Order: sequence, then structure tokens, then C-alpha cells
Amino acid sequence: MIQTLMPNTDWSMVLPIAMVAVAGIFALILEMLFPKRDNNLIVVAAFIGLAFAAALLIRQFGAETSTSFAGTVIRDQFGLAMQLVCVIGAAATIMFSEGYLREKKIPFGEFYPLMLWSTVGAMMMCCTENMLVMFVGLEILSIALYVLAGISRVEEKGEESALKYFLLGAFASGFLLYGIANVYGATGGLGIEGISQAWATKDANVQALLAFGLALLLIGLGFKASFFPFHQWTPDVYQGAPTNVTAFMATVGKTAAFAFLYRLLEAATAMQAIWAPALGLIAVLTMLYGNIVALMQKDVKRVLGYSSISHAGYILVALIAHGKNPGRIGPETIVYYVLSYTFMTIGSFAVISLMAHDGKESTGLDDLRGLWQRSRVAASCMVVFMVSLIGFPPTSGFFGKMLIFQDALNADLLPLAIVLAVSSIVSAAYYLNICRLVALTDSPTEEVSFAQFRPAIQNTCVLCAAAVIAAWVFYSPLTQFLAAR
Amino acid sequence: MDNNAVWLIILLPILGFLIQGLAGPSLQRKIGKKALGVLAVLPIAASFVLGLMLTQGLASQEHAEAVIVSGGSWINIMGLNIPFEWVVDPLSMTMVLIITGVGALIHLYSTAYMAEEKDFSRFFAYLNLFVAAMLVLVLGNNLPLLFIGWEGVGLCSYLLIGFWYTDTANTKAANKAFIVNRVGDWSLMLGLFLIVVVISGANIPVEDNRYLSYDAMLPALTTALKANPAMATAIALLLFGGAAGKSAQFPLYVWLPDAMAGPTPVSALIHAATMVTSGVVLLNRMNIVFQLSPTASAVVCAVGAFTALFAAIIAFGQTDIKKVLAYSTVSQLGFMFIACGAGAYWAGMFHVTTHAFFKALLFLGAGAVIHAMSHEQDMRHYGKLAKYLPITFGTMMVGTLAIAGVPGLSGFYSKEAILGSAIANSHAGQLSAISGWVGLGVAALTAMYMGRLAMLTFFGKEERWRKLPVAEHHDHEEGHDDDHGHGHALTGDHKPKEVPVSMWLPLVVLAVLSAGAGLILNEGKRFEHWLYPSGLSQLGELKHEVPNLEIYSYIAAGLGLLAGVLVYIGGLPAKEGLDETKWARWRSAAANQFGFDALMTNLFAEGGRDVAIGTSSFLEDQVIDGAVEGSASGTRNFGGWLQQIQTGAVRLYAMLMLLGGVGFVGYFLFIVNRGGK
Amino acid sequence: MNVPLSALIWFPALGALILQLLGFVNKSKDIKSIAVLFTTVALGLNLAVLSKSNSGTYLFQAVESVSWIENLGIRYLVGYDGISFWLTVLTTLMTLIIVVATPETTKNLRGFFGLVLLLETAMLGSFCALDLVLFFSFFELTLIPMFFLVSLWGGPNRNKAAAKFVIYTFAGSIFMLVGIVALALQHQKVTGQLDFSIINIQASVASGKFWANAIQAQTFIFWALALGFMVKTPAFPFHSWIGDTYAESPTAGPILSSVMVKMGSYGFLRFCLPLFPEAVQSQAPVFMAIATIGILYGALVAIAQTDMRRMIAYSSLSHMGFVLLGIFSLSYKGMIGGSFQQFSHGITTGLLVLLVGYLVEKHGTADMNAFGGLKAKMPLFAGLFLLGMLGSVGLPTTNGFIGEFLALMGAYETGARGLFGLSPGFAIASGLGVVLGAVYLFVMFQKVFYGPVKVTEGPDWQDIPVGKALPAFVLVFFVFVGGLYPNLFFGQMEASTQATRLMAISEATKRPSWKDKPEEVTIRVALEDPMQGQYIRTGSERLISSSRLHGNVDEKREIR
Repeated sequence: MIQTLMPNTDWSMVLPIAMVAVAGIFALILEMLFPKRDNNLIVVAAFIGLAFAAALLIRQFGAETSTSFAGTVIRDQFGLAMQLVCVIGAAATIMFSEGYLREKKIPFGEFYPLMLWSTVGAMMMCCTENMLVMFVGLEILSIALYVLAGISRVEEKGEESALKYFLLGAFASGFLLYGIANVYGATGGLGIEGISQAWATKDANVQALLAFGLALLLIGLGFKASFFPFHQWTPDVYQGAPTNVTAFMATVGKTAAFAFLYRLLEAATAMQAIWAPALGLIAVLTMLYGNIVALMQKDVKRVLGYSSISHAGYILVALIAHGKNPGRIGPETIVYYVLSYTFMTIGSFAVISLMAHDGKESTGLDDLRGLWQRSRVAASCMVVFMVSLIGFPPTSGFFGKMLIFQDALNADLLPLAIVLAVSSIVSAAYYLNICRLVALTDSPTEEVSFAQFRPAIQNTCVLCAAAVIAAWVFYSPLTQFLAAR
Repeated sequence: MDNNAVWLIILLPILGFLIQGLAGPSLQRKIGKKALGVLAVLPIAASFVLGLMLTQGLASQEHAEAVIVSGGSWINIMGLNIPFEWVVDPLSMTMVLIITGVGALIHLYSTAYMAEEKDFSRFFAYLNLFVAAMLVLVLGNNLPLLFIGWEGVGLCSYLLIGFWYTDTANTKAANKAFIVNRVGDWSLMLGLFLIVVVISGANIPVEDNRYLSYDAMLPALTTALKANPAMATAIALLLFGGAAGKSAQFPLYVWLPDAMAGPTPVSALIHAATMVTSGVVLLNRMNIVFQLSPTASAVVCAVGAFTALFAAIIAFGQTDIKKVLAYSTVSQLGFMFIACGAGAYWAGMFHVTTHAFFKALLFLGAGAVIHAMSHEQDMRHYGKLAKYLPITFGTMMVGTLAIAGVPGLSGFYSKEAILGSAIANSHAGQLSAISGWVGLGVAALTAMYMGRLAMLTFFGKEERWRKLPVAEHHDHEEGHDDDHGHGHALTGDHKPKEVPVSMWLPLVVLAVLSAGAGLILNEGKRFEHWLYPSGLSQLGELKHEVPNLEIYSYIAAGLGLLAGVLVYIGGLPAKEGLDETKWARWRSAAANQFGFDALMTNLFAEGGRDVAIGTSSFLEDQVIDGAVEGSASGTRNFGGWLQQIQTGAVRLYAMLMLLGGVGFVGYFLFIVNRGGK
Repeated sequence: MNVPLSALIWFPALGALILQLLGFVNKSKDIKSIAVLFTTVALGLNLAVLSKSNSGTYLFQAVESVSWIENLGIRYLVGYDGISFWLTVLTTLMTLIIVVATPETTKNLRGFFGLVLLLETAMLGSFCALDLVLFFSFFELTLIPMFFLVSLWGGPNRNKAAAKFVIYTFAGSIFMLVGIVALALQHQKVTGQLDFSIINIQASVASGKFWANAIQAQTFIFWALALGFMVKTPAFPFHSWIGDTYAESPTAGPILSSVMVKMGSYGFLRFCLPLFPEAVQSQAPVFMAIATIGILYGALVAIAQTDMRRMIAYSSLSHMGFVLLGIFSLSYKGMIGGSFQQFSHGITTGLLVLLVGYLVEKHGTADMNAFGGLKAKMPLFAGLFLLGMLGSVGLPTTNGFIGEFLALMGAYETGARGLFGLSPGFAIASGLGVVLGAVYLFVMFQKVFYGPVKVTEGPDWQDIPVGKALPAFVLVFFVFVGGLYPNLFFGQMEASTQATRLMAISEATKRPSWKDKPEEVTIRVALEDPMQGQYIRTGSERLISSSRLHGNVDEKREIR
């Protein structure tokens, strides 16, 4: 009785999340105290908050797996690592946002709090096995993002994308909620850990309910992760939203989705006969579609949008591999891949954000021409990111791909591995094209006036590039750190 | 004397080559062409002297032994060892003497003949290099060394045929020569591989793994082949393929007539006296393989006989004096192969020797005539030159009679030996006898076309060259110095000048040799026993006595010459005059080799090019590269097509999501109904 | 002095970095001389490293092993042996040649040389890497610099050519990566731990445990790796990138790629043969067929080309065919020939490309119909070209001959013995390639250098200045060193080649292994050929009865 009223609660588990949330509130208060367009204090506050969160997360590394808050919050190495990735992603985004927002004349006031809160949502998704908590997290994440997508009020491009994102997001949430309901009906609980027992009952109705619910859950999450055919919003929203928001969406948002998918599939291992083939097909379509369509894009942000779709496909392969036999295939691949993907994506968006200049921003592929002449640093960073996205050594992208191959072969998913190989061959074409454009030394098409390379942005590029390469060189220590071994 | 001198024999010409090739142009300016010419002749002459000494030493031993001089290793890997090593034996020394002796004479001749050339030194560089390569060919003690020489002389021949390279025709001929020879080399190389395979396959130990060195290989090969005659035939035919290429046997002879595009001394040295006979040398070297394979020998006989006849007939259709001699060379080479096929390898070498003398003589003589006629080569424009060029005339007559097989002169004896042993021996079965008789007929033809050549050039009623319009400026004279101008362009008042001493001296020497060599060498089978001491041949003693063969030969030669004289005594007959439409059909057919060359050209040169272009433009560009490009652009277009669902309309997106979702869910439920399988 | 191998591998990359940092050096002359300095030092380091080599062993030398990624069994493991020995020399030599031959007028010289130096490191690395992942990393590292070299300094169609080169190679190598991972997983299956070091894997293969009841997997993984190497080599029908790459690159491009293609053939020698014995034996006929087709097809297509660089490209296809022919003949002579052909192809192709590049630089085209009668105007140039050409057609006494001769002989031998289901037909047909080789080269030479002088507008025709011809002279020198004294090269190759061969053809447990103890090395190598005599001393004379020369066996008498 007492037990139920007073569940044992370990606040330290949610402290990082709280930290970020508080930072957001604090930022808002700052805004109220000193209302001005661009208030560096806010940035500082945000950084401090994230830094503390990160520190707290790292302090928990290596702690043995345990749950709290009546099992709604779980602390395991995977969750901690993924949360850390979210925090890092948020920090990196915030770092280059400063310069970008100034150029785009977007007020700081709303931006930072929203971004921090949406990070909170993402972190919640990473550290729970409870569907309802996950849903709440997802909504926190999404709603903040809906606003952020349209935060640049001068461009109706942004408005459109925000609305689009909202409508479709709401639609997806519907799927998700309905799925949760069904699973609840089948398992009698909101925790996904119940799925396997329920399935074991061999009761036809229960199994039907489960299958139905699982399918809907996967659809809802698949929307966030932008799997084919739930991906259509991605390119449009990515293109329309402010570049830094896009970067955030592409990294933190997806990380959260992957984190929960990971747990879900692990919980549903018993049902793999059902979901494995379907998800396999989805993975194939996602990888191929993303890469093939990307070939024809004229807009950098769209290109990266499609590329993010295909990378979601790659990760899905790893997820399936894990879900098929969680015992053999651990979380290393997912964590490493998501981390490296975060670095290269945010990095490349940071480079793109250089093209923003007093309110205007032109993101055509040709606007990248001759970037080399304007900033060798930015250009060479861009090359590094592209190389990493293709998966060439010496970059983290290479090990990411190699790990996925390893998992796929380990889980007897040879066909998926081959499709992955083929689609990354295709991807090489458009990534190389970007490499070529930025490196061109002959005169650029027309003299686009560029941001005078705000140090913040450049530092972000350099840091990300350094991280991408460091993650290749120091693979061992990095993974050991993330796995707390 | 120390046999290591053989190194000098080879190195001296190489030295000459280096001098001419590297320092030539500057020396030419400093010391002038005369001195440079001397520098070119000296090494060859020196080699000749050394050769004489070595031969002396060799001959002084009782039952002639051979000496192997071994140098460092060239290719030495586990299981195969190919050293630089030279063999000093009767065969090699015979060739050395011919190459350096005749070579030296021709070098001397060339110093005057090429005196007007700008690229004087380049010419002698090539010529020296050729002699060196030829020496490596005959002196090398293993087949790879022979192959070095084999392709080396091929290269020099290529360079010299195309010496006047501004004339595209010459360079085309040069390419033709090299490429056709490569076909032969292909076969030779395969034969060489087969030898290694056969020996190592029979597990016969070969000392030091020198699988291709004659002294180590031939005994082992004999043992292996006696067990496996089929292989003998295979190897023999492959080797003969190579020989046919170099020695211009049917069907690979086609390059030799075109090779006349080179300067005349080149034709004399390379395409008459030495290089083209290396096929015969190869057959002598490897004679045991042919001894063990009657089949292959028969083929050799047949090819030789056919080539001899074929070329002899074609000779009648030729008006270019050098072309006549070229075909006569092909025909004479045919004789040599008849001998080899019949098993009388020594006879082949005998004819090589005598032929080297009189054919070189004839070519040089022709050169003298051409020189006097300011590079006019068409016999139809000659006539009555005897009184202007007495020495040339005299010496050339000796050569003509020698090749015609007039008794007492060298040609007679070698031909006798060939025909005799061909008819008398049955090593190659019936074919050898047949080819012997064919050879006799060809001898008559030879006498006749040589008579034709002599009559048209030196005799006749009128000096037809006076009727000649001012000779148009020949392309290859562009290479000449400007000061030389065209002093002797043929005109009415042109007086053919007899050649200078440096040119007629070689003529005289060669004339003497052509006259005497045969008699001396044939004395008491001297030459045969020198090359093939009794008891060596696997075939046992050769017979060459054929009842009253001499008589037939006298008749053949006599008739031939007589016919030649009678037909052309009245000068140029109308029906083979300048107007070729009047020609007899068979003659015009002969004039263009009965269409054989054209056939070969269309089939392989043109046809080959078409195939290549077809492959490149269709298979490569369309199919193989097309597949690559196609898949690239295909993907691209597919992407464009896929993109269409990306309209930007939310309704559609939601729709697609719904459809996808329904499908997804439906699939799940479907599986569940199937019981989770 | 004792130079670590890594110093050699990484020095050029360091040089590239320094070159970028020396911002104050702006005169292209100085930049070039700095680059020359770096490449010269690299060559020096190379020789310093190799000077320590022991030709008697097939074990890896100068091995450096640094733990890198323990949990994946990946190490920084480098070392060289007889097979990589000459390839490293080729790399450093040709890079030096390229840098020297690059005209100072080239735009953005700094970046250009940076990329070239980076490529040098990548190539050296892939020739020395003994860990599959490390090898793959270096292997891929060549792509991006090459991509920029072509797409920034190339000809009119450079973009297409560059993308084609990279994507095509990547397409091959990505499957190679799958194969590599599968290989490591197989090792995990067998020994319980993930390991990418070929030394360990091969040791397990040699013991026969590795592929026990996994023949299916072996063939599959073999093909996965082979695919990558076939594209690189290039082997028919995966060659169509080579034409564009040669034709559209700056002169440095083809020269570099003539070294880079060795990474393909080297890959076969280093990885495929030792690691997949059964697969190699069963697939040998396929590869012999591929090689033969490549030889003939390449030559045939080369005949039809009018662009000299395209022609050389397809001639490379033909020549690399001989390399494959030698390697997959699995006969000792053949493999030695193949390995040697790798080196000589690099030299001769480099020489020809270099000279053609000079024409392009002067006259802006490599179309052979645009030229004519050059010999009259530029005799020295013509002479050098002729020599390079002779090397390429494989005239005896040039290095081209040795390789082709031995490769063909080896192929013929195994064929005639009917081993591994091979037939002599391959060698016989490939022999035709030697004839065709003469055709395209001599016809090209005739068009360009012979005939009446074609007056093309543009600079007056001067002969190549001796200074500019210096690199060409060096290469010509190597053409003849290789042709007249090949033993110089064989000496280093023999042990390793023989060991590699035995790893591929001898049955399990009899196979040599890179983990053998040094004392058993010599025995292992020798066990193939019992009778290996020493040839009697130079300059000696032997009197033999000439009857030996007529096939009669009898004792030979020695004098002196």
C-alpha cells in the first residue's frame, strides 16, 4: 500500500533532464529581465545547463541498470549514452545558432528555451520503457519543434514547413497513441517489457492486439525517424525550417526515436517473425529511396534531408539486427553511429548556415560553389563531413558503416547489408558533387555576399570535423567510454 | 686463342652503335662523314678478324668440338636459369664470318652510297646495332638469347626500312615487317615454352636448370621427344612458324617485298644475306627436333618448295629491279627450307653461305645501278648500261650466273646439294623428292628471270632512260643535304657514272666469293663435315647422289638463261612495257602477287582494324561502358521519377502515410493469422 | 641508419601538411622545389628502410604493431615483404618523377602537390598494411585526393571522369569491406575473437581450421574481396573507368593511377592467394579467362583509339592482364613474372604518359592525328618515346619482356600440365596480345613521329630540353635495368612469391605461414623445387663435344 503511494524514487536519474528544463526556464526569465534581440546571457545559460546535464549523465555512467518512479524511468548505459548524444547535439546546435540567428535576425528569446525543452523531451524518450512517458516526451519534443520550425516569421517558407510538420506530426501521434492503447490492452500495462510475456500466452486475440499495436507504434516512431513511406515531410520541413532547427531535428529528434525503437524491438524480440521482414523491407526502401531521390536535388538542405532519410535506413538495419538477437548484438553500433551522425550532420548544416546573410539565406547547391575561396576552413570541413557521410576512412562514418555491416552479417541479414552497400554507392554521387562544388577554385557563379564567418559558426564546423576524425582515430577509448567499460 | 674473345666480337659492333648513336651528329660535324664512315666499318671488320681467329682455333681441333663461353646470369629464378652464354661451334662461327664479312663489305659500300644523307650517323648506328643483334642471335647458347637477337634484328630491320621516314609508304612497310614478324615470334615463343614443358614434364634433370641452353637442353629434349614424338611435331612446327616469319616463307613472306623500301645496302645485308636466313640457322640449331618429326619435316619441305615456286613466278611480274631480287630471295630461301625439310640441314647452310655472297652482290650491284640512275628503280627505264658501268656490269653478271646455277659458280654446288639430298632422302617421305623436282624447275625459272633482269638492265638496243622525263623529286631525298641538289636527275644528256672505289671494291670481292666459294667449300664434302661431323646426325649418313642430276641442272640453267636472253635480246618487249594494260594476264597477276598480299591486307590489316573499331565503338562504348553510364543515368532518372510523390501537398503526404500504415498493419495481422510464422 | 616503416609511410602526408602551412612561400618555383625535396627524402627513407631487408625470408620485415581498436581486433600493423618491396620503390620513385615533371605553370601548385603527397602516403600505406581494416583505410584514402586531382586539374570532361573513377572504385571496394568484415567474423567463429590481422587469419588458414566446413563462405568472401581488386586492377569487364581517367586527368593522374592499379593486383597476391586457398584454386580458370580476355580486348580497343592517352589506358588493361595471368597461373615462374610485370608496367606506362603529357602541355591535345613527322623536329623526344614503346611492346632486353615472358611461360606450364583445370589455351591466346601490342603502339608511333611534318599552329616545334627529359631518362634507365638484370628484382621477390604460392596451392597444414619461426623459413620455401643448381662461374670456358649440340648425351669435359 505504502509502496504504491510512495514508490521508491531515485531523483538522480531524472536530474539531468530537470537540469536542462530548468536551464530553459532560466533562459526565459533572463529574456524577461533583459529583453533585447540577441542576449548572450541566454546562450551562456543554455550552455551551462547542458554542461551540467552532461556532467550529471557522465557521473551516472557505469551504474548498474535500475528503474525508478514505479518503473517509468530506467537507467541503463544505453539510455545514458543516448541522452548524452542528445545533449551534445543540442549544445552543438546552440553553438552555431548564435551566429546564424544574428544573421537571420531571429530573436533569441524564444529560441533557446524551446530548443532546451525539446531536448528534454528527447532525453525523456531515451530513458524510459514506459510507452506513456515516451509519448509525453515525444510530444514535448515535437511541439517545441513545431514552433521552432516556424520561428523565422519573415519567411512564409518557414510557416509552411511548420504547419506541415505539425499536421503530419499530429497524424503520426494519432497512430502512436492508438498503438499504445492496443498494446496496453494486450499486456495490461504501459511498459513495453510486458510484450514478450503477453505474446508468450499464445492467445490469438492477444497476439492480434499486440501485432496491431506494435505496428501502429512502429509507424508513429517511424514518422519521427522518417522511414519510408512516412518520410515525406522530411525534405520539405528540412528545407523550410531555419537551418539550425533543421540540424536539431535531423539529429536530436531522430536520436530519441531510435532510442525508443531500440528498446521496443528488443522487448518484441519474440515477435521478430512478424516485424523483422516488414521492417527489413522498410529499411531497403528507405535506404534506396533516400539516396536515389537525393541525386536530383538542387537544394543543399533537401539533399541533406534525403541523405538523413537514407541514414535512418542504415540505422534501422542495425536496429533490426539488434532486435533479432539482443543477446549477441549490443547497443555499441547504434550509439556510435548516432553520435557520429550527429557530428557530421550538425557540422554540415553549420557550414550551410554560413550562407545566411542579414535575413536572407540561399541554399541552392550552386551557392556552395567556390566556398574554398571564401573560407578554406569551412570548405575543408564540409569535405570531411561529406567523406564521412559517404563512409570513407579516416572518418567516423566509416566505422559506423562497418559496424552496421558487422551487425547485419552477425544477424544473417546479408541482403540488407548488400542493399546498404549498393545504396551507399549511389549516395557517393551527390556527396562527391558537394565536395567538388565547395572545392572549385574557378570563379563562383555570382558573388553571393557571405556572413563574415562568425567565429561561433566556424568553431562549430572545426569542432565537428575534429570530432568526426577523432571518433575514427580514438574509436576504442570513445566506445569504451560510452559503454562505460 | 682465348674463346672469351667472342665477347669482343659482339661488343665491338655495340660500341660502334653507341659511338654513332650518341656522338654521331656531333662527330659528323667535327670529323666529317668519311671518318665517321671509317668508324662505322672498323668494328665490323675487327669482329670479322676475331671471328677468323676463333674459327681457326675451332677448326684446329680434331673432330670439331664446341666451346661454351659463359657469362653472368640473365634470368635466374628457382627452376629456370637463363645465363648470358655464347656457343662457339662450326654453325655459329660460319654465320659469324658471313655476318661480319659480308657486313663489313656492305658497311664500306654504304659509306659511299649514303654519303649524301643528312642522317648519315643514324644509318650506321642502326646498321651496327643490327650486326650486333645478328651476332647475338647466332652466338647465343640458349633460345632466349636467340630470341633477343631475333627481335633485335627485327627492330633494326624496322628502323632501317623506315629510314626515310618522311615517306609514309616506307614507314607503313616498316610497321608491316615488324608486325608480321611478331606473328612468327609468337609461334617461336610458344615453341620455346613447349620445350620447357616437355623436358620438365618428363622429369629429366637439366644441369643448373638451364632448360633452354642448347648444350644442356638438346640431349634432354632428345630423350624426352623420343618417348613422345607427337610433341616433337608440335615443337618443330611452332619453331618453324617463327622461322617462316623471319625467313619470309609462305604465307608470312608478305613483308619482305615491301621491305625493299629501305636503302639498298640494307636490303643487301638484312633482307638478303643475313637476317632472313636466321630461320635456317634456327632449324640447324634445333635440327634434332625436326629429325624426330618426319611430319614437320614434310611440312617444311612443302612450304619451302611452294614458296620457291610461288616467288619465282611473281618475280616475272616485277619491273622494280629490287623487287625482282626480293622475290628471288624469297624463292632462294624456299630452297634452303627444302634442304632442311629433307634432313640435309648442312645443305641449307651451304646455300645460306653462297646465297649470302651472290645475293648481296646482286643487291649492291642493283644499288650501284640505281645510284647511277639517280634513284630510278624501274628496269623498264634502264638499258644498255653495260658500257657506262663496266665494273658493276661485270660483277653483277657473275652474281647472275651464280644464282642461275651455272656450273663452277657457287650457286650451282649449293643447289646441287639441296636438290640431290631432297630427291635422294626419304626422311620427309614422298614430299622431299617432289619438292626436289619442283626445286629443279624453279632453278630454271630463276635462271630465266635473272636473265630478264640482266638483259633489261645492261643490254638491249636503246638507252631507254634518255626518254625519261626529268625524274620527279623523290620523297626520300628530302633527307639529303641541300648542297647535293639534284645533280644527276635523269635527263637526255645524263651520263650514268660508274661508282667510286669504296662501292665497287665490295662488288669485286663478293664477285670473287660468289664465283669461287662453292667449289672450295664443296671440295670433299668439306662444308658438310665441318658443320655435321659424321655420326652426329640421328638420321645416319645422308645420300645426295641422284643419277645424272647434274645433267638436269645444266639443262635447267641453260634453258632458263637462253630463254631469258632470247626474249629480251630485243630490249623491252611491248607486252610488258610501260603500258601495263598490254600485259599478259598471268604477268599482271604475278605483278600483284596473285592478289595474295591484298587478301592478307584486307583480311588482317583492314579486317583487324574494323574489328578493333567495332569492338571499341560497340562493345566498349555501348555495352560495357554503356552499362556503367547507363546505370548511373538510369538511377538519376529513376530518382527524378520517384520525386514526383514529393509534391509538397500535405493531403497527399497524409494519404501516403495512411496507405503505408494500412499496408504495414495489414501485413502484421496477416502474419499473425498465419500463426506468427 | 634504422628508419621505422611508419616514418616512410607518414612522411609524405606530413610534407603535404607542411606545404599547406608554409603560407609565406608563394613563388611556384619554391613550392615545387619544396615538394621535390619532400619526395626525394621519401625515396631516401624508402631505400633506407629497404636497405635492411633480408631477401632470404618470406616473413614480414620492419613490422610495427600498435594496438588501435582492441574490442574490434583492429591493429595498426604494418610491414613489408618481397612482394611489397618493389611496389614501395615504384611508389616513391614515380611520385618523385611526377613532382619533378609537373610544370610550374600548373594552377594552385600548393594544393596539387599536397594531394600528390597525400596519395603517396595512401599508396605506401596500402602496400605495407597488414591489417585488413588498415589496408582498406589506406585503399580508400586514395580516392578523395585522386577525385580532386582529376576534377580540379583535369580536362574538359573532368567532372564525369572524376566521379566515375571514385564511384566505380568505391562500388568495388564497399563489397570488399563486406568481405573483410565477414572474414573477421569467420575468424571469430573459429577462434572466438574478432581479428583483422592477416597474419593471424592466415595462420589459422594455414592450419586448415579456418575454412573447415566453410568452403561456401570462403568462395563468397573471396569474390567479395576479388571484386574490389578487379575494379582497381582493372580486370575485364570492370575497366571502363580507366579510359576517362587517363584521358581527362592532368599528366600526374595516369602516372599515379599506373601505380595505384597495382593495389589491385597486389591485393590478389597479398590477400586472396594466402587467405582463400581452395577458392583460388577453384576460381583460377575464371581469372585466367578474365586475364586473357583483358589482354586481347584491351589491345583490340587500344588499336581503335585516336587519343594517345586513351590508347595507353587500354594498353594498361592489356598489360595488367599479364599480371593477372601470371598470378593466377599459380606457377612459380608465372607469379614471379606477374609480380615483375607490375613493376615494369608502372615504369613503361609512366614513361609513355610522361612523354605524351609533354605533347599535351605544348599543344593541348593528345589526338595522334593532330601530329605527324615529329621525329624530324624533335629527335631526342622521338628516341625516348621509341625506347618507352619498346619497353611496352616487350622487346627482349627491356623490362616489359621479362614480365610477359615469365608470366606466359608460367601460364603455359600449368596449362599444359592441366593443373587447377587450366589449359594452355590461355597462354597461347594471350601470346596474341604481344602481337597486337606491337600493332597499336607502332601504328601510333608512325602516325605521330613519321610521315611529312604536319604544321600545326601553336608553339614552334622544339625538341624536349634535356632538363625536362631528365625524368624520362631515369625511367628509360629502369626499363633496361629491368630487362638486362632482372635478377636484381627477383632476388627480393623469390622467397615471398614462392611462399605466397605455397600458401595458395599446398594442402592444409603443409602451408607456410607468416608466423613460421625464422629457422624453418628456408626449408619451407625450398621444399617446392628440389633441383636448384648454381650456374658455373662467370667467364669460364667449357669444351664440350659438339655432339651434345646434336642431341647426343655424353659427358662434358671441363678445361680451366
